[in-house]
Amino acid sequence: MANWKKFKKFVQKVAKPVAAVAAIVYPPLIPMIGSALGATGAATAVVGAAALSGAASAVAGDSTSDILKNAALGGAAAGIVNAVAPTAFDSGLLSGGGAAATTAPATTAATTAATDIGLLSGSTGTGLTAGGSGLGLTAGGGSLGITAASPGASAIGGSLGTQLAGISTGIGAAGALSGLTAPATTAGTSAVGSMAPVDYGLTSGGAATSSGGIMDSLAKYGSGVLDFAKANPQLAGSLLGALGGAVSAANAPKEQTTTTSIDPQIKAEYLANLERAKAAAANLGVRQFAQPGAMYTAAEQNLYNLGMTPFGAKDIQQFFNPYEEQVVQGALGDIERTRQMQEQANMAQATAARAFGGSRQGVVSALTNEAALRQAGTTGGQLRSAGFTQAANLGLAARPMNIAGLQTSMGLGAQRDALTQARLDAQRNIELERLAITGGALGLQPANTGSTSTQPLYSSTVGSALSGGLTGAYIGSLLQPKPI
Amino acid sequence: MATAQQVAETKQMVREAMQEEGVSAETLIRLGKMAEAVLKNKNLYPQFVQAVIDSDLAEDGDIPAEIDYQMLGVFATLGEMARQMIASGELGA
Repeated sequence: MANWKKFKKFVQKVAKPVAAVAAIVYPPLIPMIGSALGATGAATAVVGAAALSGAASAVAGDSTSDILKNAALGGAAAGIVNAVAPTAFDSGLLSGGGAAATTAPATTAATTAATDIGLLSGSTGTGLTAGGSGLGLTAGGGSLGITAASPGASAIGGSLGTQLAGISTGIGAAGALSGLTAPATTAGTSAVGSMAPVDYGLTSGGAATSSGGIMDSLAKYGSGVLDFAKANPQLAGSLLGALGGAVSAANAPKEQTTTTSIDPQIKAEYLANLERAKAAAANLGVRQFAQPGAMYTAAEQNLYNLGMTPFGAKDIQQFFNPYEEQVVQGALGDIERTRQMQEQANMAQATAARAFGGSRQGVVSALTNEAALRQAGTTGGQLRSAGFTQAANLGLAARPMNIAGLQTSMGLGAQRDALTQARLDAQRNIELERLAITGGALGLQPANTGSTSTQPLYSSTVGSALSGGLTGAYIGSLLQPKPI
Repeated sequence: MATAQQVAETKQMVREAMQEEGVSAETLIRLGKMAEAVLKNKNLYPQFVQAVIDSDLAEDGDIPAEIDYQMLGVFATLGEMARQMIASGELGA
């Protein structure tokens, strides 16, 4: 277990030198930090390196941003880190130099920049000003292959100068005093060309010094710029590359257009079908409904009437036995005939008794007639009562059967009506059915009739600046003196 | 770009500082691993700070609440440096 005070002292002792060699001791660390800071791709190396550059304040309690701002390379680091945000190329990348040169008198700004923040200010205010076609990195650059005489070197320098002239107004002012404005182009080019191949071209002691080249101009504004460039050629290269990348991004296309189309025959068929659909929709009439048929209507009416008519004599009457009267009359006739036969017998008996016409015969005849009448009444009543009861029962039984019959008739009528309705619908929907056939042939999915899409290309100036910075860092590493 | 000479000198400086302040290689390696973990997942920063404090490598407020990438980078480099020095025999395991 370590004591925190001792450990803090340990870190304070070693932080700065350890950070200086971090890229060699642990190469994956730089992109790891860059990635953690939100950079992607090649930019992770530049951002990671910038974040580590202020390590002198590590574990001192300062925030990351404070460290970046206060560190020796604060201008450069803040510029690159701020470049991650898509708004701050001018205020970020040039904040160490361009901004200072804008606000302060040019001479003072350049001097101050050379002392305080080194190459960054020197770069924006002096070495990379408008017309800086002479910024070929080496004289006769045998090791680099980038010389003033190289094809395109002049164009690269001119392009950088032109773009830089528009980035910050302060650059032009500082550049004018630095001696690297347009009039210096020719001199710079020739000076670089005359430099010895072994000279890095970034030192005041190089061959360029005597010819008024870039480094010679830089040297006028303090040794800090050159010392830093010698000590940190990779970072210096990153800054140069970042500026170049930004210039390239400014001229990059900002959008792309993609056009897709379908087979013209399919498209024509689809459009024709679409027209047919429109016509069918326009001509589609109101749906027609079949009127109830005669069968249904009659059955419905009768059922209604039946339901509204209470059970009564009429229902019974229709079930009376039409032969009931004959039966009754037959029975009564039998009784009458019996009475008459009895009366004949009574008369014969009275005659035999020599009492015919007497009172006794009169009494016997009266009794016979009375019995016959009574029998006739009883028999007729019984017969008629039975007929009524039977008719009533039949009438009650017939009513539900009548209802069922009427309902059956209504069902049959409804079926006929449905057929009529189907005929009407078929006539109305014939166009829709035809469209369904042609539409199905064209597929379930709507045809792609072609489209044009425009997508923005996010080739940000910042991203290109970071990418360019990485390339510059590589060039800077080549400039690095080999260890003895 | 640092040179091999600079690296060697820095390692020597680290070795001396470790002896002077009583910091072990294991501590540096462990701290480096934690720093790398935070660089890969920033959400682990609070646990990192607490672990450093619990290990008596710092006290409350000594490590900023905001992620300090330079500090993490130095710690990760120290851890790797300690591993390399152990592997090369410059430091005892």
